[in-house]
Amino acid sequence: MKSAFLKTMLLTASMLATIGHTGSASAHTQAGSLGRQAEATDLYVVSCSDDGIGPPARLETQIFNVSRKNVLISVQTIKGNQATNSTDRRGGDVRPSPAASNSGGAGAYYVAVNKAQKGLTAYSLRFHCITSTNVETGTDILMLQNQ
Amino acid sequence: MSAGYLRIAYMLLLVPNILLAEEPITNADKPNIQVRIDDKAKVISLEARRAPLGQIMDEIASKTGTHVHYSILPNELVTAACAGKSVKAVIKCLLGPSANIMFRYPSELSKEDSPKRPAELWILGSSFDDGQPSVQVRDSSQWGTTGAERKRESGQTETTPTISPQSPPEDTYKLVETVQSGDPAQRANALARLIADGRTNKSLLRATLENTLLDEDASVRAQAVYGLARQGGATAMLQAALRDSDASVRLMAVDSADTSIQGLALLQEALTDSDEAVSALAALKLESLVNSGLSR
Repeated sequence: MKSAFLKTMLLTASMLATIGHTGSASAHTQAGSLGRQAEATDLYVVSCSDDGIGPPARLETQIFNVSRKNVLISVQTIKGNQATNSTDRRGGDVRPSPAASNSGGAGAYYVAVNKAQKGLTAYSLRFHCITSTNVETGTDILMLQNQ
Repeated sequence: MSAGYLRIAYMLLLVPNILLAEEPITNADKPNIQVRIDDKAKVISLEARRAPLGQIMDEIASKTGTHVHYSILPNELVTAACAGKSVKAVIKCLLGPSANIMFRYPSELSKEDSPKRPAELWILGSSFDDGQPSVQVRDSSQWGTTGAERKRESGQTETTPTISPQSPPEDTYKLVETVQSGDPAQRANALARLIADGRTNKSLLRATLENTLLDEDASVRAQAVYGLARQGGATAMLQAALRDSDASVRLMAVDSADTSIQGLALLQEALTDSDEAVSALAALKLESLVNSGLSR
């Protein structure tokens, strides 16, 4: 058992070392959690930029409640005078919330993840900066608040 | 004639100034601060006469090596005699028992070393918000030989103590105070704001986080876990947090785990956590890492 565990660890570690991965999330997903309080909110800044693919036209976001609890979990984006919201109504299923699109162009978007009820929740946040020709372009994320 | 009137008028103008002038300053009235450290007797003593608190703090810092941070101190001059077995005792004696002070001790130094000297201390501001110190005139007899005598000399105005360039903004002190004394929700929120505020002095933040790591409220402990993990080098702390009795703290430990070998080990261990959200997040993060690797 211990040997199997070590093998798994070494395999995972060697994979990560090989690819030079430094973050805990894949390119455009962010694993996170919300604490017990109903008002718990995680806050991020997502930066959309032209990484050579083309200038960003919008930010698309989805939230995926990976807990089995049926807690309504939502993601909001705000940039300038535009805001969006998207809610995953059911936990533990395979469907994330509908994609919400904020057409704020290039720059920094505030992205908040929160929920409507008490209870610990794990989520996967999906975020993509998209060009006017529907191609993904430069996308970076920074966490500001983790509750 | 007119020259005579002018001379009289000039003299009359001088009169109020003459009447209001302070008594001549003698050597006995000059600020005098002495801090002595007796390593043999394990005692730190302070004697100050008509000295601004800022200068006293600077002298204590200079003699003990403890970095003293403050943003607001009472303006009045202080006469005090304090002695104690630790810097903390002397500072408490000087400012009074209700003063809100936070200490950080060097990790390699046992708190039992004597005389006890913290690496840093922060004098938090709320007890001075009204411009008055929290401590009133005290009878020296109540302190005995290791006690204090402190006299307020009201009516004296001195310039506001200089703010050290490393002093954090005043809001930071208020947040630190809230972390120490608010209700659990307020304390957790204040901690979250401190962590998010990039201006917070790192030492102060670390001391605050370490002090709240064993807080009785789980949401406060969870924020402490997150904040310390953000500062890096927190593997042992995360491992301990994963054994916390409250799932929200364990969830934050998993949330804060990085991609080091220790972080991966923590995620593996969390896969079997009794709380479904904790195990689900661990699985999600491991899966995300593997997928990320495969996609590159």
